Amino acid sequence: MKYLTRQEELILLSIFHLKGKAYLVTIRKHLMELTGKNWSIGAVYVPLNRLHQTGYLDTTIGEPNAKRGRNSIKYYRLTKKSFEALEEIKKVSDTAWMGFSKVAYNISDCR
Amino acid sequence: MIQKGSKPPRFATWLLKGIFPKDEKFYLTGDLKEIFREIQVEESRFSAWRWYWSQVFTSIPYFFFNVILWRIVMFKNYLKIAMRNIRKHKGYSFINIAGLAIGLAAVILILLYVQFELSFDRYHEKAGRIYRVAGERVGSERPSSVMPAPLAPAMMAEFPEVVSATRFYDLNNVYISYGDKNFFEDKFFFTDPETFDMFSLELVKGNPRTSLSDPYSILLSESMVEKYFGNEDPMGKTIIFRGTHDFKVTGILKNMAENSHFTMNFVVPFEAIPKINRRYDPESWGAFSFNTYFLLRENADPDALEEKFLPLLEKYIGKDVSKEIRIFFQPLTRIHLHSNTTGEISKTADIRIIILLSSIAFLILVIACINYMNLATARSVHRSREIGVRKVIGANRSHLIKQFLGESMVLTMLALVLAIAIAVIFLPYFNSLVGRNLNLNILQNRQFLLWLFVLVGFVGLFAGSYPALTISAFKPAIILGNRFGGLKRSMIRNVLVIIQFMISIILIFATLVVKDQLDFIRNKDMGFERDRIIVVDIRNRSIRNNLDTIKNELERNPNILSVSSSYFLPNLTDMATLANWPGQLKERKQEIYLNFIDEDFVDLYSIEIVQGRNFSRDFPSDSKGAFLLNQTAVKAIGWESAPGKELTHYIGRRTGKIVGVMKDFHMNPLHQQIMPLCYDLNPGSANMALSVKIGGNHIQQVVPFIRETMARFSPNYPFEYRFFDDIFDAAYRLERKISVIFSLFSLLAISIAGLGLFGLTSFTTEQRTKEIGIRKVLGATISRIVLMLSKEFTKWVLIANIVAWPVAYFAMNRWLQSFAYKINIGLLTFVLSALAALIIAGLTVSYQAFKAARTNPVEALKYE
Repeated sequence: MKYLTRQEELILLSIFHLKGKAYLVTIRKHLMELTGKNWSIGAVYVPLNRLHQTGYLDTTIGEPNAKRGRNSIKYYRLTKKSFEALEEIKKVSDTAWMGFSKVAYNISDCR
Repeated sequence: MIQKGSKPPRFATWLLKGIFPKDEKFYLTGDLKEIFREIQVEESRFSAWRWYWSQVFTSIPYFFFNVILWRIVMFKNYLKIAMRNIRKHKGYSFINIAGLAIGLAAVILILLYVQFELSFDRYHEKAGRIYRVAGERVGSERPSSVMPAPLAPAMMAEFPEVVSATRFYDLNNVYISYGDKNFFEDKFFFTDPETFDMFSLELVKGNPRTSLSDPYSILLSESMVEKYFGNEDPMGKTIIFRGTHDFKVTGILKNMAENSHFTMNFVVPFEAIPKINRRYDPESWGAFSFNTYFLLRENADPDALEEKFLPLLEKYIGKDVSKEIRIFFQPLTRIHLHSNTTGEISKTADIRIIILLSSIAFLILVIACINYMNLATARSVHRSREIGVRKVIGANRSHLIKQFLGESMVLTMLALVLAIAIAVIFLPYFNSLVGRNLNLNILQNRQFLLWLFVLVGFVGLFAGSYPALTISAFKPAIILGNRFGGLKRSMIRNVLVIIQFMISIILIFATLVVKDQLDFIRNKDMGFERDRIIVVDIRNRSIRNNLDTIKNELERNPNILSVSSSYFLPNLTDMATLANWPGQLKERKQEIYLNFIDEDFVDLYSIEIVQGRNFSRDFPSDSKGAFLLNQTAVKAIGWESAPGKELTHYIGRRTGKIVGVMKDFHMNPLHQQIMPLCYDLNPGSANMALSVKIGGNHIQQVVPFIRETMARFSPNYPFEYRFFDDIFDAAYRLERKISVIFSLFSLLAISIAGLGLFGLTSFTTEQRTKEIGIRKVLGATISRIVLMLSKEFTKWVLIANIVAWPVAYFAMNRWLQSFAYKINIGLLTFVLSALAALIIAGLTVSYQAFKAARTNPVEALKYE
């Protein structure tokens, strides 16, 4: 199967954590809190859109809120496909990361 | 809650919306707005604002490569195809562009004129608050715009809403001299200093407040300074008014714009009037001779002020007179087009002419647009493949509509360039036609530029819409399946051709009626002689005082048959007063027109006397007061026999005996009825015109003789003469102008329509080449084929006639109502207008038909 990029992985995980309240603004905020870095809108929107088009995400249209005027909200939900993909990633990375711990994390050893 | 004013910049939002994909637009703007607000709350308004704009800037590269680039590519393709089509079918493109260009050129010229006429007096900064006082006397035909002299000061004193008021008294034909330069000058104004507060007049030199403080000071316009002083400095120099009064130049007035209803060449203070005319009483409310303007306070209501006028008049003029006058105000900007009062400073224009011209321009434009529509739809058959391919590749209807509208825009633009060139070439001719000095400086004339854009947009959309809608509706399967035999004969296209010819026929009809009426005027027996009469103005005291001697001197010349002086000439009697006679009922008021003449006038103009006798030197009693009346006057008064009766009129309060009755003649232009008229024998001081009747064809010898004779009595007199015939014609100048305009533009209309028809027929015959070939092979004669091809077009023209006739008839009948004496629109006019349209249509159609019918059928049938 095709591996997801790190960005896509993080976005999918954010949507998972946001539990049905995931849309562009909240996803971006979550990512910024998570990574401590600035994410531009494009950096969130482009992979988000791609994921939606490739079937990793479902969307529902929600009612607008006071903050955004009359413009309605597009919520994202994970599909079965994305759960499978995330699980796969977790399995692969868990295996790959085996044996790597804080104890082993020493600058002199790394050389 | 969200605070007020926390919206993202609207312009940036608009830009961003253009970039977003269509189906995501709403969510994304909402998302952006939300983030914008968050930043605003957490940081500051400015950083939110900065962030929002940075989103716009960072997306510019994306926008350029993904949106604009593709649009440019498509646009280039459309343009290329359009240009290819123009080049490939040069003939049709020429007809299309030429028709549009001629139409547009006509519209440009007319718009230029209309713009100028509408701009009158608008350049004064306070134009919106300036009004002129006008009044209407009960029972009089025309209102008057001249008021008594004390009115302006009284208005300023009595009405708080009047900021300032001023008076004009203008003289024409004033004899002005400086050094060895003597001229008769027009536009000589007496006025108050308030004029300079109210109107936007500029002084190049001098102070508007103080320049006119001395009664003998004068302001000259720049052009007059150049005429009299050349390069000399005029300030402080003295010029002489009528040879009697010295005026010192105290200022120079910037030349006034042409679009003013008054232009001033000489300005002197109002206080100079009593110095020049001893009989003038500045306090008199009886002399209505001064144009009075006032500046209204801001937000004041002119209607309310009008109401206050009756008490004012009652206070100063008295109850009797004020009952008979109704005062009203004319806004400054409406004077030029809407006012036609007596006492007008310059000849005003007529809004009806403006409307007439604009509608002609519009009609011509419609004809040109229809040309385009017809040719474009007819020719779309040739482009059916292109349209089919575009549709198959994925163009939807809106793309095609855009493409064809764009194409018509491109053509209109090309036509516009050509039209401007045509307009520039014909501008001098047009200028002389409308009597204006217009120039086509588009870049400096912003408003006109805007009009042109609107025009191109309108024409492009209007002309392009019908072809765009029909062509884009083609079904690709049918077009590409090669079963596309030919476009069905479209009903709409027939209707459009009928409309074109209808408009042409209306214009031809109007031309014929105007021409008939002018011929009628020209040939109508006016009741007086018009040929071989020279008129010399009497404007100089030394000539007026020696009138009898001059007459005798002139009559010595064998080529001069007769000489006579008068106040008016017989074709225009513009003075009316009231008449009284013994035995008149007290309530009875009789208006009577008046002219002062001498003994020879009636004979010189061959006016017929039907009862009694002419004035004569053989009856010394005539000099104590003698009148001639016309038949209408006698009838109006109700006398059985007029000679011997006594009459008094109120100009100079003169009483006299009636010596004879004149046959009715047209003492005013044919617009007006013949009115009661009185000729008063008064060869004295007031007469203005000297008529000289010349025998044979010796005009060339006689004119120098008259000049020399006059010069003996007044050496500096600038001699000018006119032919009475020309003066007579001048009264119908407007009608002649209308006649020229109509013939010109109806010619234009019919030629554009003909051009369109030519294109259309050449196309339809081309479509039927094979049919014609087969018919010929089967034995059809050329004449049969020509008949077959022209039958349809003839039908259209005939239908157009039926629609056009009633419209034209009613419109022209209304125009004729402005004449008291007019023609009846005859059957011939109907027939001629129909015939003209038929002949033009017939010629264009049969040319094509002949060409098609004469081709060898082999040529038509060999490809299959």
